[in-house]
Order: sequence, then C-alpha cells, then structure tokens
Amino acid sequence: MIELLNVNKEYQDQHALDHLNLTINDGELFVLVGPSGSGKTTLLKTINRLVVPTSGQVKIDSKDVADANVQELRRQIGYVLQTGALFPNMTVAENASVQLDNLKWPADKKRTRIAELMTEVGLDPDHFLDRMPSELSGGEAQRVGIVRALACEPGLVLMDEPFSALDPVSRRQLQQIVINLHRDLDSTIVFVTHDMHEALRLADRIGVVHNGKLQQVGTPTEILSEPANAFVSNFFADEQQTDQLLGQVLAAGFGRTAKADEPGTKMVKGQSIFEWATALQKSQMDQVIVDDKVLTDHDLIDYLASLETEGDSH
Amino acid sequence: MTVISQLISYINKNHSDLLQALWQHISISLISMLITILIAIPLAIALINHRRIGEFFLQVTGVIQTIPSLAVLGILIPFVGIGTVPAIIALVLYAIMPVFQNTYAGLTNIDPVLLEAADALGVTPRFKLFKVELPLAMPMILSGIRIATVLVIGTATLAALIGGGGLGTYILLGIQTNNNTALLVGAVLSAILALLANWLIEVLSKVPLKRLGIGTLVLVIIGLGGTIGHQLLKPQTERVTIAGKLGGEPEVLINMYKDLIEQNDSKVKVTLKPNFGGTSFLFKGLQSGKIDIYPEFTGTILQTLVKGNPDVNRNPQIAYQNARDDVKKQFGMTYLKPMAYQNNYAVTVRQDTATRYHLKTISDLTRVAGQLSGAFDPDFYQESNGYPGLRKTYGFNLKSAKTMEPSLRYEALANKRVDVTDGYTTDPQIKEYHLVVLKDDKGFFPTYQGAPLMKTSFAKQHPAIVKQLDRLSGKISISDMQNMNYQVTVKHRKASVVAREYLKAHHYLE
Repeated sequence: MIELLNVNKEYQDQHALDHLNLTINDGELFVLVGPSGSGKTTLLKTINRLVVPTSGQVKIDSKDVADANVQELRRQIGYVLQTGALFPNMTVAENASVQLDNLKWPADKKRTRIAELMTEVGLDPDHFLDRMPSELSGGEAQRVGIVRALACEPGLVLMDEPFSALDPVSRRQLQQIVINLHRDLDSTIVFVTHDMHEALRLADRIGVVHNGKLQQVGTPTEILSEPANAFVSNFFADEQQTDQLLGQVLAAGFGRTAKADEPGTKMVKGQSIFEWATALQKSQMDQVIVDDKVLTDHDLIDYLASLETEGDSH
Repeated sequence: MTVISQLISYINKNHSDLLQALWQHISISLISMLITILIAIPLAIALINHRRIGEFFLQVTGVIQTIPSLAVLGILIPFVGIGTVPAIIALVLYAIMPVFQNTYAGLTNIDPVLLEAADALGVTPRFKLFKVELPLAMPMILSGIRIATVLVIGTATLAALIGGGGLGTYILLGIQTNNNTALLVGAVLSAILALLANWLIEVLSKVPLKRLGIGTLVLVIIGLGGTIGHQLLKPQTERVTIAGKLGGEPEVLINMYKDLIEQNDSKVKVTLKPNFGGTSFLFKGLQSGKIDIYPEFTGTILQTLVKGNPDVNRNPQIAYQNARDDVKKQFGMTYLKPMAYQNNYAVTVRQDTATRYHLKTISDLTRVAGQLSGAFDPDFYQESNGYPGLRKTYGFNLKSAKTMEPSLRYEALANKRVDVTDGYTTDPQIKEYHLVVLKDDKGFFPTYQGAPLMKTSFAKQHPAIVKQLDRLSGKISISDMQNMNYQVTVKHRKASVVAREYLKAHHYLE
C-alpha cells in the first residue's frame, strides 16, 4: 500500500503539489491523469524519491521512503520512462538487466528471467537480446523498457507517460501488454498519462490531477458517471462524445446480472462500444459479459439511441 | 642530390641517434599524456556536480593555454631545473585544457533522461559513472585526448631547447647549423608521429573500455618495471651535466670538456645538453644546480648577467677580470680562464675588395667608404655597440647601408651584391667564402672570450675537473675555431668528432 500524507511540493513559491492525500492499494493499476503541468509526474516521482516533497510524508507499506536508503528503495521499484530511455551504450540484454546487475543476481538466473519477460512482451529473445537500442523501433524500445522495469519482480512499478511518444498502433499493443502483465503479475502499477482514453482503458482506479491537487479519485465508471467537478467533466467530455466505454454503458443502467456459466465474449469496462460491436459481430452471439453483467445487442441499440436524445438535449 | 636522397643518407648516417631521439620524443609525449589524463579526467568527474567550480576550471585551463610555451619553460627552470621534467610539466599544462574541456562537456551534456533512468533504477554511483556516464561521454573524451596528443607531440619539439631531447634536437640543429636535411628529418618525423598517434587513438577507441584499461595497466607496469630495473642495474658513477647554447661552436666546446673530464677520471660520467634556447635558460639551470658547467662569454656576463657593467672594457684581460669578479660576488660562481680566440663583432669584406683598396683595418675603410655598400644584421644595425657607434668612432659613410637576415648577408657579400657586412670573428662563412676580417684598430667592439662557468661550490668539490678545463685556457685560436665551426656548420660533421680530432691533434687526448 502506498500512502501520500499531506504531500506538498513548492518550486519558487509555486505549488507543484498542494497538500495532497492519496492511498493506492496493493495490486491496483492506478492511473494518474491530468493535463501537462498538472503535477501528476511530480506526484509519481515522490514515490521513489526522485522528487523530495517540501513537506508531508510518502509511505510504502507503512515505511516512510525518506528513511530508506534511496538506491536500495529504487532497486525494488520498477520504473518506465517516456521514451524507453535505454542506455545507448548497452545491448538490449544489458539494458534489461541493469537492476538485476545492481541487485547482484547470478548470470544464469538473470538470463532466464529476461528471456521470459522478453517473450511476454512479444520480443523474441534470440533476435533481440544482442541488439543495440539504436536498432530498435520506438515500440520495441519501450517494450524493452518495460522488461527492464519488471525484471527484478518488483512489487511496485511506476510508469511515467510511457506510451505518449508512440504511434497509435504501438500504443494500443503496449496498453494491452500492460493490461496482460498486470493481470498475470500481482504488482501494483502507478501509471501517469495525459491521455484520458489510455486512463479509462487501463485503470482500476483513476486519480485526476489538476493544479497540484487531486480533483477526483475513483473507478473509470465513477469518474465518467459522477464527475466531482466541472474540471473533471470537461476533461472527460470529449471522451463521452466520441469514444463511449462499456463502463459508461453499465453506469447508464444497461445490462443484467450474469448467471453462472453465462455464454458470451468476456470484455472489460475500459473497452469501447465499438469494440463491443466488433465482438458481437465476430462471436456470432448476441451478448457479451462485462465483469458480472451481461450486455446484449439490444442494449447496444438502446444505448446508442439514448445518446442521440442526450445529444438533442444539449 | 635530391632532397629525398639527402634525407635517406642523413637518416642512414644518424639512425641510432635518430631512433634515440624518436624514442625520447615518444616517451616524453606518452608520459605527458598519461599524467594529463590522470589529472584532467578525474578532475572533470569530480566537478560534474559542481558546475560553478567546473566553469572556473575551464577558464583557468584556457588562460594557461594562452601562455607561450617558451615562457612556461622559462618560468619552470628555477623550480624544477632543465631536461625532461620541466618539458613534461609544460606539456601537461598545455594538454590539460582539451582533455578537461572535452571530458567535462561530455559528462555534463548527457541526455538528462538517461541520468534520470539510472537514478530511478537505483544503480550504485560506481555503476552510474562507469557504465553510464563515462561510456556516454567517451567519444568526446577521446576526441579531447586526440587533440591533446597531436598538440603534445608537436610542442614536445620545444623540449630540446631546455635539454629535454627528442626530435626537436634535429630541428634546432638544422636551424642553427643551416642544415635543412636535419631540420626536415626532425619536422617530418614529428609530423608522422602525430599522425600515427591520431590514427592509433582512433583505432583504440573502438576497443572495449575494459580491455583497453587492462592493456594500459600492463603497459604501465612493464614500463615502470623496465625503468626501475634499468636504474638499479646502472653502475654508480658521478654524473656531471654540461650544457651549451644553440649552435655548432658551443657544441664543439662542451664535447671537448666532456672528453677532457672523462679521460681524466673514468668514474665521472658527463651528460651533454647541447642547443639550449638562450642565455637565461642556461644561467637559471646553473643556479638551480641542474646544469654543472656551461661555456659563457665575458661580454655576455658583463652585459646581460651581472649588474653594474653596461660597458665592456675593450681590454680583454680587464673584461675577463671584471666578469670573473662580478659573477663571483653577485652569484657565487666561478668563471675559469678564457680560451685564446675572441668571438667578437667583426666587419668583413671580400678578398678582392680588400686587395683593390688595400684594406686591413676598419680605419682603412674610411678612405673608400663612399664607394661601398653594406648589409647588416638588424640587431647590429640598431645597437649602439653596432653600426651607429662604429660609424661615429671611425667616422665613415657608406654609399648605402641596409639590414638583411643574418643568414643571407654572407651570401649577398659573396655574390657581390654588397661589399661590407658585419659578422662574428669565428663565423665559418669567413673561411667558406675566403672573407677578410678588418682589424678593429680603435678597439671599438667589446671583447667576447669564452670560458667555462660553474658554481663556486661545484668548483671547490671538483678540483680535478677545474684542472682539466683550465688546460684549454689561452688555447684555441680564431682560425682553429673558425675551422671547427666550418666543419660542423658547413660540412655537417658531428661536433663530437670535430672536437675529438682537435684534442688529439693538439695532444690533449692520448
């Protein structure tokens, strides 16, 4: 569990973080979202002490990070940067095992672990391990960045806008990789993005940051259905009009509770209604399962119709 | 003979000396670069996180770079003496700037995202420095080392001026004895050396850092072992260092000193440092004890070294006594008795001019001066001891008088483009062109007689050496010296051989 208690960070009389309180639970994929300059990255960096708060406490599992040996602390935390930030003088294998080297893992154990993770992110170890970063595409480099962050089996992984520089196709692939990895490992992931689609797609819970303050913390559904203030609703307004998510459909009261062994394609709240339509078409079935709810093809038509009336009322 | 075949025959004749000079040049450069690297790179690393001090050091190294290298050598001699040590210190001072500047720039311009990545992954400070920062700065560091190495190999030619040896010896020798072949050999070899070093560093820069480090360490250990072993195995002898100014004449003299001293006592080993840049380098070397003996002129002592004797007495004996007494009083030095010849200013004319106008003395010149044109060394033309004073004393007016490069004026005289020039009485060209030196019948020119100069403490500890050197007092005539200078400067024979021939012919040596 990560606790931020009254965390305040000032740069030349400006509040980057304004007396902020937040708790992130174990195993959660928590997304910090906000416009640029909102303080979300600063907040993330207080967790591994890349940023030292002016006042307030940051605790990981009830231990204040200020009391820890900062290098030992960071060696236990995975970190993914914007561009992959691979060291250009090292091979992929050397880059991926930076933390393991510093933790003094034996060579064969390192090799097995890295190869396993490379396969998981969709990179063939035999082809990629001896390459130099300059020979990788942006998407490949960021996959290696993820392998590097996960290599030491960290309980906590911090990701600082990791996909913002990628093309839309690579971005979607990598988002899926993060979803899969999070499902398979039980690490806590704190993910920073300015892209609300990404936030809604990935998050168990979202923290909306603006002007150094947390505007709202909640599940994607809660944020979309009950925005806490004008800033949050404006920030997600665009999303509501263009890319409707299943979470919103459920929040609007559609769907019924699923019975045991109910047939239908399994989907998550973060997926869009377009993906829902595609799933219906591909599966040749008239319903999909989202968590414990069933959504039918009729729900899709009714939901779309309800949007039209909503649009009129605007 | 073409230039190339001249070069080849020169190299063949002198190959063992050349190899030694080449090796000296390489070792001076290599040691300087090693010291530079050991200073500049750790300094830059230490200052990565102290930007203000780092900027300050950049300024300081930049300022050092602007000091002329000769001045640095001059400043260093009283503190560290002559030879390779001050040369290496000066070279290190020059090489520090490019290495420090590039290392510092390389280290401070690393992509901050990569540094954040290293910090965020919790790497140790050692890992960050050796696996991230230094490898990323390495291309910059290596280009700094390349620039510095080329600079050092070029500047190391100056080491010869203060007895440091190296290829500069041949360049200086070439300039002094008008021997273009020697000059070319020195210059071309040092240029080739610089190019080779540049290429070698480029090749080595592609070798992984770890292997490079191990290789360097092995080389250093072998080098140190070799040097120490060599030192231990050397027999215990007394070492005496004798130096001389630039030119053939001082080199002949110090070779005579060496032969006389070593013949008398085989346990004494004399090291010669020929072709020093100037009087002040030598005198400072003598004061600091890095040089034991060097030949100096009475006139130079009175005019440049001691105070209170701006005018040199025209009587050679009085001039010598003044020089001997003043240098003893003011500096605690012993000035032995001079040789016979005087290396004075002289007025020379061609044989045919002398015959035609019956010229024997400068006074004779007065009668016919209006029909003759003259060319003079620019210094001589301006100094009151030179042309202006000469004219006043003898009261003559040449048809025309102009200044000319010292090396060209004899040729102009021989080619009948002028009729009168200045010179020194022992100049070999007098013999080469069969010129006539007009007698200074009014005693206008100050007298320059050569004799060994040393510290009085040295003279007291080494009475046998003093006795040997005194054997030359009152000996060696002007024509002897002219002839020896002719052999060395015009015929390009070795000074050591010419000196030994003279000593044998006059029964100083068995």
